[in-house]
Amino acid sequence: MPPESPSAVRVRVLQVFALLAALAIAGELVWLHVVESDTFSALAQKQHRNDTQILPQRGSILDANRTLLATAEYLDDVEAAPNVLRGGNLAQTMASRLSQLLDKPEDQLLALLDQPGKPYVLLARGVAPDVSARIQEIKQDGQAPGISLRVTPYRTYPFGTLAAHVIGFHSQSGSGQYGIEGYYEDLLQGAPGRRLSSSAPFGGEAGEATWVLQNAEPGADLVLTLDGGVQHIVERELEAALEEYGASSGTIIVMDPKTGAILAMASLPTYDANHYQEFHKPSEDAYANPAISMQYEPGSTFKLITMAGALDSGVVTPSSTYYDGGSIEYGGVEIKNWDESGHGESDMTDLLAFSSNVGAVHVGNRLGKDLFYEYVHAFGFGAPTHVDLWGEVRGDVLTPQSPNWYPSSLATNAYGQGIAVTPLQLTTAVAAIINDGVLMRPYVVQEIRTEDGVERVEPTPVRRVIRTETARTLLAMLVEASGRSESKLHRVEGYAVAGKTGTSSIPLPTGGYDERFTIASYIGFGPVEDPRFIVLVKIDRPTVEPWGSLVAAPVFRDVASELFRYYHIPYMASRHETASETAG
Amino acid sequence: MLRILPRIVPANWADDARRKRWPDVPLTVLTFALPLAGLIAIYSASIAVSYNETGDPHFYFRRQVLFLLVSFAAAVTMFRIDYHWYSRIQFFGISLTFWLLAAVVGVLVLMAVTDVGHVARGSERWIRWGPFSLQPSEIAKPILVLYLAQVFAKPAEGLNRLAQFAAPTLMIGLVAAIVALQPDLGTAIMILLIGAAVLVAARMPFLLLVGVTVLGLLAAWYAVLQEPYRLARLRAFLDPFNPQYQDNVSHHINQAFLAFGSGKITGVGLGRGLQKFFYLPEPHTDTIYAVIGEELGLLGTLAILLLFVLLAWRGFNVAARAPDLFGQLLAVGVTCGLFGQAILNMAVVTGLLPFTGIPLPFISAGGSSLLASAMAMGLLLNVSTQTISAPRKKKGRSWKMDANGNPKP
Repeated sequence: MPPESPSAVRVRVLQVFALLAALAIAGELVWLHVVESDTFSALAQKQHRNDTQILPQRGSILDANRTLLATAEYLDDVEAAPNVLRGGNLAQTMASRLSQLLDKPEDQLLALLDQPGKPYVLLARGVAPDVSARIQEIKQDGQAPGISLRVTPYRTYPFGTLAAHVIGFHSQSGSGQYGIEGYYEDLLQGAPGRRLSSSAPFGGEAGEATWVLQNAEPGADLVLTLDGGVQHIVERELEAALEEYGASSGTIIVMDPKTGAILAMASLPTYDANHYQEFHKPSEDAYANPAISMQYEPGSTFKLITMAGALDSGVVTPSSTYYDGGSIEYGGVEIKNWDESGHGESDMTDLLAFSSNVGAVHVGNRLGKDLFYEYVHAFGFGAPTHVDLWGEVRGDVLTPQSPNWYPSSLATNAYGQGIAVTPLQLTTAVAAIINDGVLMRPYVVQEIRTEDGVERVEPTPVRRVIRTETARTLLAMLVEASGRSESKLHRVEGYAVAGKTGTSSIPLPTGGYDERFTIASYIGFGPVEDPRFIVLVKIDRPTVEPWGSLVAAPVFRDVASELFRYYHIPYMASRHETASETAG
Repeated sequence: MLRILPRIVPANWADDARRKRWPDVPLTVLTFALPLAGLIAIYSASIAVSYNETGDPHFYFRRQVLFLLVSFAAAVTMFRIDYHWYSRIQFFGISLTFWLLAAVVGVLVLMAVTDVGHVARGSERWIRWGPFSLQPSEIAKPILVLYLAQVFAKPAEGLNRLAQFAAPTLMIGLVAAIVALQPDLGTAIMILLIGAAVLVAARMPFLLLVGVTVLGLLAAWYAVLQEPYRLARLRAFLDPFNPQYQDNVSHHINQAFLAFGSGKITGVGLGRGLQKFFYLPEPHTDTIYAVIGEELGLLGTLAILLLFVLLAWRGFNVAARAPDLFGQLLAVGVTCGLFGQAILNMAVVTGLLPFTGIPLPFISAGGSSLLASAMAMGLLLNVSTQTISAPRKKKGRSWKMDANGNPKP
């Protein structure tokens, strides 16, 4: 058994040296990792500041036919570093060289460039690709010192004003505002990526390379239920109507009553989302969508809601009668018919046909305040419809519990005054009657397309408001009433349509109503045997005629007849209306 | 021309019932653990460089996996060969180890005088053969150890013993000088270090050792003066944050400091470090320790250090208990080669020594380094199977060699 050799002693010495060396390293590691770590990590963070964002591609917005309504593209901003252009007449030279390319006056460019202290000025935003390519060439020839191009995402709206209120816009601060752009900001914007470009901590170069840490994730593309063709029809007709009736503003909504899908939603005056800044008004919100953000007193169109409640609760039947003397006193207030004339003994269909306020008060009274407001709320008034658009208001429904509610409120509410609704709320509520009594959530986006796939938005029922039989009875009554009505201006030749007029007073902020103006409206649908669309026409402050039957009904007719053609609904598909006409 | 010497078995060896037959367990574990730790580090550290150079972020990682398989085969082969064979084979009366070293030196000289070598990063270190490239200077290290151990294991007394030191010492200087001329000062220093360790273990007289050390230092100083960049690095080392040197020269050190500092105790997380994105030079090879420091923090760097300490501890234990001087010197040389290089790399990256580019054994990406390290480890493991048990404390017994190099009873 040999002991360790004498040279093994030296091995042990080496072993101890090794340990000492390791201890030295360990000490140094503690010094670097712990003692001095704050200093060094701060320096590291300083140089890693070249960790920049990669802007994601914003999602597109397409209409139901997959036509692009909003697109994102990358354009170059032209920037300059005036402090590089110091000395000689370099600034002058650059100004004249760029003036033609950027289509800007030379002296304007010179004023920007001739600021020797400044490290950065913006010369032009989003120049066309060919201009950008030309500048790139000049740069490569060394003819454009201090000029640089910065890739920037830009939003364009190919159809300008079309559906501007629905789409909203992408502001220059970089976020979506109003409409779809505002509501779906989170989906549209995507997620930015990260790019690292390096520089040494003390000014030296660590390498030219850049490194993409994370790719930008593009935003989702949104396919709307809104049909560009229908939208165009509606906007054209609305514009013509405002002109014809000397009205200040107006709104038209077209909706599929069975799903709640919004097919068109137009309001005038509107704006061009490409140049939204030019439409800014200090006094009012120029971009708000009147169909969802402005409320009005609906007037007689609301009688449908009162009637629906009364029929559904069984307090009246279609054959119930009342005596219409032209006016009635209720809650200490005298309420008159719109034409201040009576219709004598009337049934429920007459009420709708002649739009009798006296009848509405009578029915409202039969229904009673509790049931009446129960139905009003069930139809979605006084609450947001939760449409997928930015900036919806809830409307204003007084209830018997409110301090401002008086017994006479029930009477006025029954014919649609003293209650504020949005155009969309009314459209959705009446659509529920067409849809066998089931209220649908209105929606604008039908498909969300991401890199992961396509998510389809299904129609969402909110609640059953009235029984199916009630809904069908009321529809039949409405069809017959449309026939009995003295006004025939809503009719489309060869097609069966039905609807309800409305002429409402406009409340003044000071209290009371504006004596000069009305809101003329019509809510109708067609074809009656299998409704494909419901249309609300609302014309504000017409000056030629005040009446819904004379101002809004013809607009409905024009829109409806165009829609029949647009949707290829067969001519004379229904003889129902002719039948009802004979009956009336 | 080929002659195989008889196996000399120590007289008392057959009786040693406690002679080990299994390789040293910690060393065996390290043989797997170190390259695997390296593979994980390379996966993270190499992506930026790899993507930049090849377009594939995992190119270096995948290549390292291949190197690992080849190196493992080499390690197993070395482990299976009884180390005594290296001293038993002779050609033309001269030991195989000499011929091997002569071959390596020949290749190195050939690279120096012709342009067969492949120049990369300003240094002609590689021999290319198709898609393969090899660094002869890396292979020179284990072969030099074999040669030195074989020479010193030969019995000699008195003046003969002194004369025995002359040729190998010159040989160490020669190999180091050629490698330094490539230029690869880091590997040259490692060769000097390994040589010095074997000389110490071979019981070179103390005064002679001092003399050789002084000579080596003078040579190193001369090498530094020859290249302006080396002097600049040295100055930068002495004053790392002086703005005068805060260009590329001290950049290496500073960036490594920032990496360690950012890592703090637990690190920023595996794969999440930013210093490897072209801040650190050679993040997948020479400065991979800094990448580990940033991503895994003090815990990570200490863990790697401890693995190497374990390697040194067990390696020197094997040396101390080797059955003969040849085995002992082999174990010393190999252990110094692996541990010494690790310490040198760590000392450079942590700023304890002036910058020189040498890989961290087993951890850094690179085939030649891994192959040489794996072969060295195989050799060490073979020696460990033949060690004798720790000696009992017995007084009055000395251990002297007889004429055959066997211990005298």
